[in-house]
Amino acid sequence: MTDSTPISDKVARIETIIEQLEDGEVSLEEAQELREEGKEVLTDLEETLEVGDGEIIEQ
Amino acid sequence: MAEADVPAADTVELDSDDIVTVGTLSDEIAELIDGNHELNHDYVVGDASDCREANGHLHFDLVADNASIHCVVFGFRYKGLNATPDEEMHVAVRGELSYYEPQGSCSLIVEDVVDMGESEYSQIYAENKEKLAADGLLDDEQKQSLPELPATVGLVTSADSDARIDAVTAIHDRYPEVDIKIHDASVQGQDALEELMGGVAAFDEDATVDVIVVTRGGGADKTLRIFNETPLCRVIADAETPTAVGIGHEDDRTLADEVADYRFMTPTHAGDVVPKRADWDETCKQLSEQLDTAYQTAVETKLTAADTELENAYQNTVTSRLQELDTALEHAAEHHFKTALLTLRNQLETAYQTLEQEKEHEEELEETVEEVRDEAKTEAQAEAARQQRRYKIVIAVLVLVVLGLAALYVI
Repeated sequence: MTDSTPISDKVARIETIIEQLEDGEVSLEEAQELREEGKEVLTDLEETLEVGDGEIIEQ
Repeated sequence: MAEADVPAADTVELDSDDIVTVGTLSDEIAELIDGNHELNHDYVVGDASDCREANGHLHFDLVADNASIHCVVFGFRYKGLNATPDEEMHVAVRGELSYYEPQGSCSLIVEDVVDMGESEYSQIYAENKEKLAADGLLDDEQKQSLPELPATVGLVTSADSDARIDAVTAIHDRYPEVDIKIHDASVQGQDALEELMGGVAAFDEDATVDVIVVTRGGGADKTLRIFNETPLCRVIADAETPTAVGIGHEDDRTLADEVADYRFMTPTHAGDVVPKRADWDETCKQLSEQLDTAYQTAVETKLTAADTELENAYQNTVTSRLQELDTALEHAAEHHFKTALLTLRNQLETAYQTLEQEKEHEEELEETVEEVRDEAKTEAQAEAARQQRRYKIVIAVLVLVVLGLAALYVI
């Protein structure tokens, strides 16, 4: 995931991680890694949502 | 001409005596218009525009070229009209010119309307639309998607209009952190076309602008016609930056709407170009909760499975070990019993043999005793025989003695 990754892709990745965890087919180590990745993508997503300062700029 | 009717002010002196009030001027205009037969024509021809009903009366504008005059059909005449004017109708209007003093405006008080065919502007509109369609600018395939979350919105509108306030408010109501760049442009009049095109082009060149919004509030249809001009439509359609256009009221449609990547209805709907921040916050919250729950569930499932597996393994190990011990114990017991049995058997065998030996020995003893007894008996018998023989010898001797004696005696 990068800054230019679309928001919908980030959401989709988190949803995929959630599905993988819910499937229960992952080991404890994999679950830990998936959770960490999900948290990172979520943090990244929240940072992406901070787009600006709401400035009104008259041209 | 009326004479001056305003007394000189106490504080300000005007260098003229020809001073009238608005009411006087309005009366003069009304007298000129209402009393001038030269201004009354059998028919006035033009395109019907901005047809609307108000207070039971039908209002519309009669337009041609750049001229326009307001027309009103009073309610009691409405049903008797030869034709009911609509937006795409070229009409001939018969009526009387009237000056409405409260608004200082002239109107045709319509007595009848004759349908003269398709309006001139309808033809122009149709031609413009045909040109745009021929170039594929109305095709949905040509339209870009709006960005999921524009960081900066480029707003092209009149800077001092309610539309600007409504659009900015609508955008920031949905997403307060979005920056808005505003390009002030006339939205009607001579300079409008150039300024609107310039605004769109400038924002299209601005790499920081993620979506271009063109908007203006409602107004007379003829004032919206600028948004049907093909040069403006082409600039909007050709912009590399996604465009959104919202012109007039809900029921107003312009070609600029149609070529834009996205159409919103009014300036107050300009917020549609950005998502709702609250929705995204809720989405993030839900995703975070779902992620935690899914992780907890996955871990608990794994731990439960591991616990069950451990318990099973323990049970299996214990059971197996117990079985081994049980088997070993069984074997040991069996071995012990066998050994003990064997020992007992051996002891029994030994005892039996001993018994047999003792029995045999006893028999031997008995035989020996018997033999000894027989020997003793034989010996005793021999002794008795010998004794008997000795007795017999003694007796014989005695007899001989007696006989001898007797013989002697006799002798």
